[in-house]
Amino acid sequence: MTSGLSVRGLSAGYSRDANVVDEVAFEAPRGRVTALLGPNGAGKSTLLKAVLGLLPSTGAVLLDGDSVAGWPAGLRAQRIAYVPQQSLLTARLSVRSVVGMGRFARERVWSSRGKEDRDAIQKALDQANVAHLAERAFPEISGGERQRVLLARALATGARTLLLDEPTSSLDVRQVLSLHAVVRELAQQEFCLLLVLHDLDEARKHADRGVLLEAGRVHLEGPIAEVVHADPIRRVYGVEVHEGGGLGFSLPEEI
Amino acid sequence: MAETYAEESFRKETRGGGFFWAGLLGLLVLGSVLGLLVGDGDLGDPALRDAFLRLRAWRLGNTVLAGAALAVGGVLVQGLFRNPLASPSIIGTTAGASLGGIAVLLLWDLLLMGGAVAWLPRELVVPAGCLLGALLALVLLLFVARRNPGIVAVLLTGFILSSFFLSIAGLLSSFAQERWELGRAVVAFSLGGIESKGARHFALALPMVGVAFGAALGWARHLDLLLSGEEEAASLGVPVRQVRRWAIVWTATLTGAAVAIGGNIGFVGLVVPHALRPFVGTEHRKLIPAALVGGATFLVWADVLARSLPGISQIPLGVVTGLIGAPVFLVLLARSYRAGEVL
Repeated sequence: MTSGLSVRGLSAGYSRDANVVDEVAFEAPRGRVTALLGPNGAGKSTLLKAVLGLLPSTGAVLLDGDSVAGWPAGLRAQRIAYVPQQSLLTARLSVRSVVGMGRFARERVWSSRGKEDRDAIQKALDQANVAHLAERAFPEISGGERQRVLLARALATGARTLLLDEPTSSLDVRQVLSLHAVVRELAQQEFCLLLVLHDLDEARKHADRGVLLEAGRVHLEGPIAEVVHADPIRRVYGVEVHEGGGLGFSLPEEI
Repeated sequence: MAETYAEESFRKETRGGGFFWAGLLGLLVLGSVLGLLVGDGDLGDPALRDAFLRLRAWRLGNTVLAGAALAVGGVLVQGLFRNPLASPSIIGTTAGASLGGIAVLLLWDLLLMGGAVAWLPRELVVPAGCLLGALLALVLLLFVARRNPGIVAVLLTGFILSSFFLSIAGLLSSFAQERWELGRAVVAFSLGGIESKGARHFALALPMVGVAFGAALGWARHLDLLLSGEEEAASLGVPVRQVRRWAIVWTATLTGAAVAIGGNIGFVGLVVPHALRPFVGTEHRKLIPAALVGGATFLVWADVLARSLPGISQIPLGVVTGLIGAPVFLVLLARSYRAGEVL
């Protein structure tokens, strides 16, 4: 049994007759940070949504050896959590309330939150380093802080598998490092982490494994140093790379 | 039971929960007392006092129900469409309910001519028609909103639907004029007016409003999560389709009940939730009960005002709410523009 996320022959799209991802298979083991890479339109975000069950799909998604097919939405939310690239939430809710949303799948409709929920929310706030923002209004904090709050919300679900869609795309360098520090800590606690990343340098530095998508299919999967490598990058991104540099290759100044 | 963190933050974020509720309930009680005392008819006449008070009590009860229903309906559609400018009257739900009421009056009359439903009182069928009309309007709007969920698209579609429903209602009213009794009933319903409604209307609307309110409260957490958008809500375990479906049903029930009681009373569902949010916050578990009481309070005072203007015995309730609501809507629209929400 593979511990972590195992995707087998997964096809999904936004309409019935056009799959964006096609027969995708890869592993995202526990205790490792797996980066989902690929050019725009390769199907990275679609793949995350398909794994989350937000899109109709065929194929199999296994979590710690169990198929997630047929899991009710509540159970899936307790086992696999999602951090969107940006939240659409504009309502003036406190950060604590937003993180508390993560407990939804574990709460009963008419009951108040008990100690277990309160503790989980506080722990998530602490883990994501946003406890000091708890009483601030969510729309009024910075983009980087919001991203960490969304991570805290995912942690509050109690899920130990996190899917993050371009979590650092709008962050400054300090916030990027801060977020990856949290992600690394979670990996050390045997979380399964799958991140969509755009920046190859960032992926190489912070991920352990890579899954390189090309036009909805997996081009290459393996240790990050093998995936973020001159040959696959040249083929998938269609740019001529030069040998040497921090990545083992360097990108051209212009196409 | 332990206090939730949301409740903690609610206490800190909002301005004195206890005082707010005392003030709101105080306003409702005061408005209700005035509602019994103000209006045509001399309460000093002992022969007529009981009759006047009874009539005004039913009018008051119906006003409370209609206000509560429209405000809670407003909260639901604002959550459903993630649109701060949505309300049953603006997005065509009220017009749909109105059309449903007229259509069912005609249908009832046609069936009555054949003697099929002679045992069925008219008051009973009108709320059902209103509910179905409101339901149809919401389903149509939701169909459009799913493709283009922008604030302006929803408002424009609601406006077009509203005009369309009112045109059909006008057409049906013209048909109805061919028969005097039916024409009178249709005109009376179209004009609305809570003054002519009594115990039967109250008894019919009360369970509709009660059940819909209870159900809305049960969906409160779901609606909170829907504020994050469907995708995020679904990833957190919200059965989005189910929530949408039921939010539509309960909004239609509330609007149908309100229209059956008072006709086309606009803007309550817009003004009241906006006025309440600074006091109770955005969370639906607080906002829905506050809207219930706040909507009732707003409409009771509007009705008192409608009966208190010098030189005229009373003006239609919808005129008062329109005069208050339309400027508020424009202010909110301008604020949304400034916030970049309207594109």
